Amino acid sequence: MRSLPQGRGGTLLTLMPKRFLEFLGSQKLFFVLLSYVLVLCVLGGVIPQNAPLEKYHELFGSLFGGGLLALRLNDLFRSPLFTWGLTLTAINFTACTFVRWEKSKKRPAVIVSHLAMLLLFAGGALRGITSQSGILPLRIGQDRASFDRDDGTASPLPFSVRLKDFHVDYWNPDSHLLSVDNMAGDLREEAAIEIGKPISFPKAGVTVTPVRFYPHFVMGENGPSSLDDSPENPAVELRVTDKGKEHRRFVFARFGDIHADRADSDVRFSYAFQAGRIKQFESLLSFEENGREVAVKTVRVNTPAAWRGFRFFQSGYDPKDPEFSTLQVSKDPTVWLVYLGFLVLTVGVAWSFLQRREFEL
Amino acid sequence: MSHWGFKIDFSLFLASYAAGAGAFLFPSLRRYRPGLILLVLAWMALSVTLVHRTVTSGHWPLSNQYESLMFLVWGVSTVYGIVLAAWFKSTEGLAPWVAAFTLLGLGAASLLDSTVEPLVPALQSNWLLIHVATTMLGYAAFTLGFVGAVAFLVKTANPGNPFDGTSLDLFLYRSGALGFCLLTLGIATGAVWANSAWGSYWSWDPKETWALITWLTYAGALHLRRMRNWRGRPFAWLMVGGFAVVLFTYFGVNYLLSGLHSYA
Repeated sequence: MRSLPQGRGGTLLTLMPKRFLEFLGSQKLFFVLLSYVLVLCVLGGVIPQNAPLEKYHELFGSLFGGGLLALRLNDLFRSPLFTWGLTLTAINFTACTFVRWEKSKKRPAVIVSHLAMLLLFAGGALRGITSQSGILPLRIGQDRASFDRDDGTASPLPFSVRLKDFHVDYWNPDSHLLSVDNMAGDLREEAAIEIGKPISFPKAGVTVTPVRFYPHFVMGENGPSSLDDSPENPAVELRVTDKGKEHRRFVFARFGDIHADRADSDVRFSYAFQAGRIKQFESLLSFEENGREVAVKTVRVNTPAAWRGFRFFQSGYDPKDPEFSTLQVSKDPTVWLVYLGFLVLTVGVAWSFLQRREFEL
Repeated sequence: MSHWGFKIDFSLFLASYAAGAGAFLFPSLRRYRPGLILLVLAWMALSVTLVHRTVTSGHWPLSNQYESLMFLVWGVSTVYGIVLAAWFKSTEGLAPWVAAFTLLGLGAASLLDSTVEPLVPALQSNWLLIHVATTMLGYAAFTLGFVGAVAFLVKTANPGNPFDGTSLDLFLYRSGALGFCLLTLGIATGAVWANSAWGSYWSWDPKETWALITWLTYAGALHLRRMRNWRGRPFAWLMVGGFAVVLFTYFGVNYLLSGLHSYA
């Protein structure tokens, strides 16, 4: 590390800050801070962040779990351990550029890259102060003039938002396929079925009415039910008319042998289920001011809507409630600083790469 | 077509590897040109496979682990071809090493689900191409740095070996630096995409965190080389270590940690 040029007659008072500045901008400190931030990132990348507190005791035991919580490693990236590390790194970058100015001037790409890092640090810090974010759960027809912050408190909006409509588009909906064959194995019929619609299998001589679909079939004290809407154990209840007699049976996509055949019938069923694939979620929002609709915007995943500095993102839905939509709300007036930082960083790094001198050739 | 395309790609990379390895193992054959020609043919065949998949699926082949791994293999051979043509003709001896890696990549891809699926809503964006392609090309350059580093370490393992590793040392430095450039762009474009899709340019999601760890690792390696003169074997070891981080970021996070990138 080169020493700073010292003026004539420098006193202890003027020399000390220079030495301190040299220390702050030293390579050693850079590598120490880089290692420190790297280790914290690895910890934060491995330890689940912002999970329920009991999960840490469950995963790491009471001793380590407690220590981890005391050090705030469960919320590491907002903890003083991390923010101080980043702050010191920003100081190191600034001091390094200043201390090594004569050398840096000959390598503008390095200055540009360091400047970009400072812009990113500044943008990140300002984001913590100026940004607002949270969620806005709405049902069709409902309106709200606030959103729920991450800490659970309500944050007011300078307008109200009404969910006019919400729907889910599918590439293909859920499909149910039923096959019928006989015990001899010389007959097979196959058809797509719909819940509630009777369907005939003429060769087998049976008529089937799918009564109910159970995505996650379980048998409880009160009979069959679905634990939830996840297709963990898809099953369909069938009303079968075979030789003039009617009976009920269940068919299972994952357990084909269960209830597939009966002693009083010479046909057996097999059932296949394919879950539908969601193409897009779409919320139609109405923005209202003073009780009057002033704008209508559509929000899709990757296509947010913006109004008066707030942006609304499609965030979630409830498969059990087709009229319910969750929106992410965000206001970040200093995001341009981060974008500028990324732009300058990309330019600086690419400039370094393209300069032959920088590459020792 | 896709099934046959994969087999043709694999066969050509295998042939390239065999030709290159033959030239490497038998000094009297020291001619890497046939292996290089086969590598170019394999790259062309893989390009056709990827274009075909793009046309049939209606989206860029970057939407799942299978597609991104195929793209990574393509990226490794592409970046190697560019680097070889532009700067380091003397590193043509690396061709069999590159072919060996591509074979490993294709072998791993064959174990993954190759079903063509429509895009999930989160991936329906033009940023998919910009962000994922730049990141994967960055990983491809890091892979080349790793391949070069392993070759360097093997060739310099015996101090008595009169191997002049200057060119190879520069090759792996440039590979690392190119990867660093592309990963920087990948992280920047990812941040812009995240802000337009989720309302936050950075969420400390495991994939983001590990991409940052990868970036910091290579930033440290490049600074150590420039500021502390870590060259030759120490730098080669840094490239090997960096690649271990790349592997965890690419594979490990997908299988061990869940987050916003869980579809990847």
